Amino acid sequence: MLRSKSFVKRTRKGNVVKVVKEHYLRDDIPCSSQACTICEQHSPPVLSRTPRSTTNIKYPHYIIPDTNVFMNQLDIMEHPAIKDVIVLQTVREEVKHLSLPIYNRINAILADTNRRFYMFANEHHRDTYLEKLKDETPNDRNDRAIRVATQWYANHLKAYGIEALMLSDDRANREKASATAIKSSTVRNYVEGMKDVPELLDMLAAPKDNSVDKDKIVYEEHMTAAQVANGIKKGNLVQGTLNISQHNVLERTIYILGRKNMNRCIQGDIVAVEILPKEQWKKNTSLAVEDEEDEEKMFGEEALDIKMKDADDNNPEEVGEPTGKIVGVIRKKWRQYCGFIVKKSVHSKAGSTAPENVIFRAIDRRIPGIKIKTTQAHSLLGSRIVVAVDSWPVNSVLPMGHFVKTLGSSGDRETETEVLLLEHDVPYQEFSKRVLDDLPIEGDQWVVTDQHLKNENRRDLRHLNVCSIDPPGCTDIDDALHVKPLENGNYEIGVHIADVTYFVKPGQAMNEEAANRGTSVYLVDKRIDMLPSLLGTNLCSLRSNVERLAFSCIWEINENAEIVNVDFAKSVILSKHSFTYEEAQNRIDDDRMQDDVTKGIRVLNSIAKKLRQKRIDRGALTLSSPEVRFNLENDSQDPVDVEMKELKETNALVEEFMLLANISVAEKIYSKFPMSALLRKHTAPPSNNFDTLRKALSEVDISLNVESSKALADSLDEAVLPNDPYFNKLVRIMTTRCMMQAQYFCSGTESEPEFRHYGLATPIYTHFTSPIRRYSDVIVHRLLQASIDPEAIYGQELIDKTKMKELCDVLNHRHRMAQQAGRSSVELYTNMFFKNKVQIEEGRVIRILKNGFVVLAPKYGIESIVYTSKKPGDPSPFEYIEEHNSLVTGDVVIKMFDTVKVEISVEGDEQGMRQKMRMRLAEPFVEGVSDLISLGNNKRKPEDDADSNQKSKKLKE
Amino acid sequence: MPAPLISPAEKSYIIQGVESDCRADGRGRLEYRHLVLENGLLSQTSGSARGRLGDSDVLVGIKVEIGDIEQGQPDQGRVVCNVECSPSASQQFEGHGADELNNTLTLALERLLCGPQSGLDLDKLCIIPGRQCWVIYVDAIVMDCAGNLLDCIIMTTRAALFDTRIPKTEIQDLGEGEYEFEVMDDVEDAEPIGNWDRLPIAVTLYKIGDRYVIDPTTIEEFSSEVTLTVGVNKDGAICGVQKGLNGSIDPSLLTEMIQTAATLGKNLIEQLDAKLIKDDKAVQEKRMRGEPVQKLGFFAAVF
Repeated sequence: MLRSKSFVKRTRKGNVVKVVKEHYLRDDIPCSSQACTICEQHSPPVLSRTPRSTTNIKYPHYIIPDTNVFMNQLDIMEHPAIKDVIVLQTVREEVKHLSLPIYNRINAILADTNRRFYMFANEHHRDTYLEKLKDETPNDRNDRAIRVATQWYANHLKAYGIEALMLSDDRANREKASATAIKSSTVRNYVEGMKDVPELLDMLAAPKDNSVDKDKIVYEEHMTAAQVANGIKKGNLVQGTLNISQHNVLERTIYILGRKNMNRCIQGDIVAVEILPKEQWKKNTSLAVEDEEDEEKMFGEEALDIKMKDADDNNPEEVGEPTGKIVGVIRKKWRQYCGFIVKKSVHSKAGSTAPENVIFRAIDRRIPGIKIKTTQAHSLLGSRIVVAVDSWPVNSVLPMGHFVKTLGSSGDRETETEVLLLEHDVPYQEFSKRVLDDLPIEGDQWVVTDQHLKNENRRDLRHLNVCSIDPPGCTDIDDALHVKPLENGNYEIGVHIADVTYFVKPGQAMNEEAANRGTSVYLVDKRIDMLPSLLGTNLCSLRSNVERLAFSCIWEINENAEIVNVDFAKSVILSKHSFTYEEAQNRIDDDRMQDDVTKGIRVLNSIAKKLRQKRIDRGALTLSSPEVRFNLENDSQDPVDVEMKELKETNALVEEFMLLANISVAEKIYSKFPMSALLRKHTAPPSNNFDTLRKALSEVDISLNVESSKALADSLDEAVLPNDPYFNKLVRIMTTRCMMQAQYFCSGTESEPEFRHYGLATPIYTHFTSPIRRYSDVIVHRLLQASIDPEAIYGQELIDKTKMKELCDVLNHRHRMAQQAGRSSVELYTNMFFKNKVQIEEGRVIRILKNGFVVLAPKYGIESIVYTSKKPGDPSPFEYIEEHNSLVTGDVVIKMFDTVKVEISVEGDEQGMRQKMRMRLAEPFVEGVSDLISLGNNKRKPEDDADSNQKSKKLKE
Repeated sequence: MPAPLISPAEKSYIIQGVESDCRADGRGRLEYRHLVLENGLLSQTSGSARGRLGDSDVLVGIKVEIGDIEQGQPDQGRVVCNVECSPSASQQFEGHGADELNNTLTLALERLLCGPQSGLDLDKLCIIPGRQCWVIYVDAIVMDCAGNLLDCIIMTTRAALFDTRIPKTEIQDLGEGEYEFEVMDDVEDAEPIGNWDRLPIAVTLYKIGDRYVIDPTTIEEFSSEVTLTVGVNKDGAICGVQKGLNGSIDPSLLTEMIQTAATLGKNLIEQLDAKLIKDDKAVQEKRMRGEPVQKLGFFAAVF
């Protein structure tokens, strides 16, 4: 039966078109109940023969939720205890229009056969299809469709003793249902009946019309979408991403001060901002703002911001930074947050299970506290939990949310690792079956065959002495090298990169997954792979003595390390040896070794040195960051020792050739795809980034020339203090902090001079050499393949500028998140290392603040604030001298680069939920500041409840 | 258009028939042929109708679009007409053969619909005064041509305008004299054109010999020396008069003809409106019950 559906749509030009779609009705859509004998089941029925009943719903039933249940209570629907659910097509379509992420989550549940969710195509079923009545709103029509479908199910399954229950929080809908004898229930009522899963009650979303009149702060109403759009068009309003206490992505940073001006927005929201009149612009940052924010959070990552504030302090006559207030939200970026329940907000007696309102704090301090209602407040204390935000009414100071799940107890390594993965938005789930289905069917039995050589035009390079050099324990070997002397005295040098694109093809689920993950994430104790491990550590990995597919970049290079010729080809290689950096170094150094492989490494080493020299002559920077490695105890994975990462000559060898390969490939793909090549750039830092550092260096009579990377590199080399060997490294570490982030971009979106890579001093650069752990490299492989093979077939994705740009944005985000996650993981382990330890170490002062200074302890690569008072905010004996940028008390002077001794310990905050490193000044000893634990004059113990809980728990184990 | 070919014998036969109130097809002088009128058959349009008067066959589609307001009428929408004779309707329409007829018919339709005489509530079509309004595009296609085209087109257009629904708009005040509007995407939410029932129909009288007839066949049209088209609305008010062809009309006859047309037109409108509204009700009731509504569409024919 044919019907037609039509609706009116406004085109981009502003015109109106009527869209008419044909709609067919069928009579063969099954109910998918295992009990049913009438329906012709096309696929195995999903819904159980014996669905559950609850204390409130005493008969066996299937659940039919309405749209709002999915929109507001999705966390409950995702709970594994909810089974035998019929998702109506009407509902699914409505959700699709309202929120795509929720729609995707529903599809994920539907795909999970264990959950027994069935999508009933009621819109195409002859008996449940409804025409919209005149004067009926679409919502009413859909509600009616849900009721009709519920009725149909109830009648259909009557003979088998199964009822259909409509789940709806809409009272009018339920009343209409009961008028026609359709069974219905609210979500709350339903969940209350499930006595076996009490936590579901906590997961109920906070009701919207919760009038909290007693709260005094009333936020301004947001503008309507049309008003905002018009305001932005006319320039009255500015659009931007709310980026709390960090540099903004707006062309010009606009400060939004105070919670009221923030107007119910959460970190990451895309908002419309009205600029406040000039009189209200931020003249200088008072200390109070710094106090309000968390100081620890602001330095380091957000170093730039503090620096700007410092600069403001120095110039009181400045016009000031623009400030604004948020008048509307363009897109909410609310997600689920990890955190803990604030102990102080729990008022009920221990053991009470009565529901109460408590305050939840996210680990990410930029997120405001969230009000949640829970019955298990006491059991949740001391745990890491996940909470979702439901709404933020105008009359509520804090947003409302609901409990989603418990991750585990705080301080636990597994839990904390999961927290940091969640917080950095790292997709860490196991690969789905759909993804794993894309792996070669031979599994680990897959081998290179002659077919690969014959049909794919691959070069047979198995006879070459290829070897790989990697860190110890490396299983995902992306790259291998070879060198061969040529008759004319030149050398043929090849870099062979794992041919990931042979296995990962566009359009595959595996490709989508990898594109979404963007990069592998390296944590202290584990690695979150971008590709399934069969590929990453086996089939793609260029292990020794196994034939592997590779993408080779082969140069002819002369004695002076000048490239004579470059060639790219897909190939088959057979690595003769995989070295660790140390092994390779030993081979070079050991004169007794005279085999071909060793000789090859020596040649590579000498050419690498020349390449490096050339690069440095061009102005490449040698920067430094304190990187540490943990030695983990084997079974417990607890850190037992920390050491700085050491660099060997062979590290530089491999790095040099990888850089060369990346540059050669970048030139190649840019020549063939000038509009859509994926490249990597590193913009020169604005010179004011260096202001603080230069000022500090001028105190020790060292000048830093930042005009060009070459000048900077030279002045860095000269930044040496004769009696201070670590000083140069310190300066390099601090210079690194002034740099911009390198970024992926699409060549069509920037002009050519913008392509420059500042740090490497090369006009063009890309990432080609690590396709196993970076998706950018996978794309570059495809681009290169398309560049060299005239017969290559490639899709739109390689030439579409906009798509490429979107991909770059995703990759940059993932890359940044992966780095931060890695750093957080190191921080977590450092904290664990120092737990229950108090250690006095030497440190260097790298920043002076008004009420403290930042110390870097080189031995552990850690840094922290040393407050110049007992507690932050207390009066301090130190005085801040602006002109010397130093802190003075009596005859003790603390200034930049000073060496001090600090006492390092780890403390929880008052709730014991946030572990943080704390440093106290030990030498020079200052009364009232050096409040050392080791001297026993500290009243606050470094370990409070959470810590000792943790310890006792461990003892039990 | 080449001159019609009709023999003197045929012509005198027609004239004599009209004289004795018994035309070639057996009708009286003021009798219509069989009329088939159905609306709402083109789902892509905002409104549509197909009319068959004898063998003359016309399809009218209405599209409403958002357009800029015409200067001089800052708070009114407008109507734009176009008539096209399909080459398949007559051999004479091939190539540019239909151009002159198209122009004549378009002009006649526009004279009746654009202006206060049409009775339409053009103020209601205004969205933002001085800025934007709805524009009603009337597109008529003549699919078969068997005399009395203009009357047939106007009658069908009237039925199509009755069927037309204009999407609802919601105006938002952005402040500072700026307005933006949103179009409701629901088709059911759309509104009919205001005062569609005030629309006139045309009654064309063809003077053959000393008498006049209505609704002529092609051959009767050829025998006519002069025509008089009278626009009549449901109150019997005259909304426009237009003379066609080369002949002349005696003033006394003119008054009589206009009188006749007014009476005929008023009568016809009453019958048409009653039928249209009844049909529409039946359709709405069917949909209320969730039953499919089937259109006769192109199966419609003279029985």
